[in-house]
Amino acid sequence: MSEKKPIIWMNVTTSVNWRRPPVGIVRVERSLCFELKSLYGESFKQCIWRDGHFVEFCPTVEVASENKNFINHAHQTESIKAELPSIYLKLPRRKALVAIAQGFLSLMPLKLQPYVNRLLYSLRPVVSRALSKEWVSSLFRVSHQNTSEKLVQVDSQVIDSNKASEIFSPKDVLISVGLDWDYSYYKEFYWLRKKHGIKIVSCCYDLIPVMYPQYCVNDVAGIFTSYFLEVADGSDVVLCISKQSENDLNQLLELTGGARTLTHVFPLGDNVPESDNEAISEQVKLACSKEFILFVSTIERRKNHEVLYRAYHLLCKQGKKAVLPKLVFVGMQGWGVNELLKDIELDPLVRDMIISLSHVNDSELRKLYEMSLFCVFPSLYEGWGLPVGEALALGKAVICSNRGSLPEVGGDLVQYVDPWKPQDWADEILRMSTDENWRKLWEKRVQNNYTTRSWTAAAKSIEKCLGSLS
Amino acid sequence: MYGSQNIEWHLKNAILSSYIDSITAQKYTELIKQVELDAINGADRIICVSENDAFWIKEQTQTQVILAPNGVSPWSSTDNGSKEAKVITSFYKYALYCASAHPPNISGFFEMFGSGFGSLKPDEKLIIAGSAGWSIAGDLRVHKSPKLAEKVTISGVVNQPCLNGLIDSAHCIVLPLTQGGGTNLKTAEALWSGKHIVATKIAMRGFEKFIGSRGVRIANDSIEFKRELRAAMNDPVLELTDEEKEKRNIVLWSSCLKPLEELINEMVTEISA
Repeated sequence: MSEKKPIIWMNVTTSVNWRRPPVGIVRVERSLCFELKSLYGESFKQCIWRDGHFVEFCPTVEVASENKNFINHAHQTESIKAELPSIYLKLPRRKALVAIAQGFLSLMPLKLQPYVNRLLYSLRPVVSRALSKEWVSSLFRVSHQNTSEKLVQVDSQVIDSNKASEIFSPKDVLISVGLDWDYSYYKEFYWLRKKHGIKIVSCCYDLIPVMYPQYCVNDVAGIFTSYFLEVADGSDVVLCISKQSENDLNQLLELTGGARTLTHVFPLGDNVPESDNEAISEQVKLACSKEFILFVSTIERRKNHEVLYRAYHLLCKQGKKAVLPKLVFVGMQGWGVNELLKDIELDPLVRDMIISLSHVNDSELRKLYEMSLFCVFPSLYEGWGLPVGEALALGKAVICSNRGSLPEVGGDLVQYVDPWKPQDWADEILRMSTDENWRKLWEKRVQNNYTTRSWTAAAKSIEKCLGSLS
Repeated sequence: MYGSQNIEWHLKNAILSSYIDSITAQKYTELIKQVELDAINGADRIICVSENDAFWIKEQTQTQVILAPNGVSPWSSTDNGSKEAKVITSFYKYALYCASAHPPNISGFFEMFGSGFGSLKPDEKLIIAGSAGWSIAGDLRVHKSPKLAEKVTISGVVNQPCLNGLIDSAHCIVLPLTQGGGTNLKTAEALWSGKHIVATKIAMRGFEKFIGSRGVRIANDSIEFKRELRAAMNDPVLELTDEEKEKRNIVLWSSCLKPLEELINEMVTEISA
């Protein structure tokens, strides 16, 4: 009798819940999903996390682009959910109870806090046991269903099941590469493995919240450390997007006594999507009308836009403004950069030299890459550095920070500069801008030697890794 | 006859230094040391509980010093005790830390389990029995080490049958002591229990002959300790051979107090003569 072929499940919860054009991790999840589907055919299925368990997800609209597949679905669900948004972020029930307990403890008079703390410690196992009881779970499920009733009614593509394990069979593989820490499902990985024999493949993008919490909103180091420890125990293999991320993860697990799970480094695709039917905005056309240097990245402290501003300030002060190209930032504004953006806006020396563009579509992004004089990437730390790969894939010269994983992306094809030294950036930007031979030399090196990493190759690398799991 | 469970001035210096300024700590340490030296010099015989302690005392006096380490009485768990223990442990597989709220027990715990605690799987816990639990629960450091608070279950002070039940069902016993002299009664208890042990070298003071024996893992820094704990939890339940069990009988009071018995007999003979 022939044995049932294991199913490769892709958890697409992040993509399905995403409401904006895909960026970063969402793009990775969707691209891999598309490629893995081609590789595995009938043995490939998608699932999402809903109401405390995994359910099969069958996208209705089959279109050529892997991204549109999700976007169509997202638009459907969004229109259904057009109601007053939740005043606060909704939490899984365990987290909600913790938040209540935290509030209770914090609001107590100082003298009573040790006693309340003691009481909470005693209550914790009792509450934990109660929560694990089936009737309590069903109570929560019922109440949650009320809030999402509309969504479930219309969303007929979701094949429901009562328990997390029911859609999976032993030896099936669950690949989860989304924003997993934002959901509670990663805590199920261990149980799916242990109780149901399902192989779990998770992903480590970077350990920035653990290693550089100062660059993140709030102190998230503890939350992410717990997340990685949980994932290490719950995974058969953790995919890492660079050797740097792999090393960082292993180091964290070593320091904390975490499970030394198998890791596999896979290359992210860096082919810039071609999308000829998207309009180019006037703003982008205007930016492209003159020479410019391009920096593609969310505007946040870690990305170090500041060193570029300082470099430009130094150059303008030295009287080089006339020979300097404009500097174009492409990316949404993130956290902790208000003062910097205000400086850029008010500094009389650089005021007209730096342009910021956001909500750029794929066609615009490609045009900006193609039309740029060269690209810069001064990040203080990266788990990979996709924009560097994208710039190289389009044959551009790149001046790049030498930190984190960036040397893995750029090899010897980019010019490295210490991200903490504005004068060095000023010198190299000036040279690359004004010395055409120098710039052409770098471009030629890139064009002759850089091999674009494709998403197909990324998926094949994962396929090979899955093959070794059995 | 002077019996010391510790070299007190040494231990108190470490404790005082963590609470008050070094000059004041030094002042009180000197006073404690003087009391200790007076007792040593005034004694006819001296009993020590560890070789380390004996070594220092022998340097201070010509008086006869004998070694009679702390021990334990044999125990067996009862049904009621096991039931009580199971209420606390919720059927989790667990490592056990039994300790009082004595400051070195708390500081050692945080030294070993600080900076993130990943040694235990989602279905494993670290049970803290004894008054140390309340001190640890009330200490902010337990929340600052990621995952530690989530993994710890505090039983508080429990009765002896329940403690026996906790020890009996534990997979591993941890002894994360980083300071203190004398011998640790809890080490004797752990050795007698026949469970996996993860201990610092300091916790093994007085029981050095068991270092390297099967089921006893020694780790002196935080990284090593957490790693050894994970390894111990991954190992199958420890089954000691009859020979190994026999060797561990020396932690029983009957064996530990033998030198004291001989000393007393010798003194009685002396006095009678």
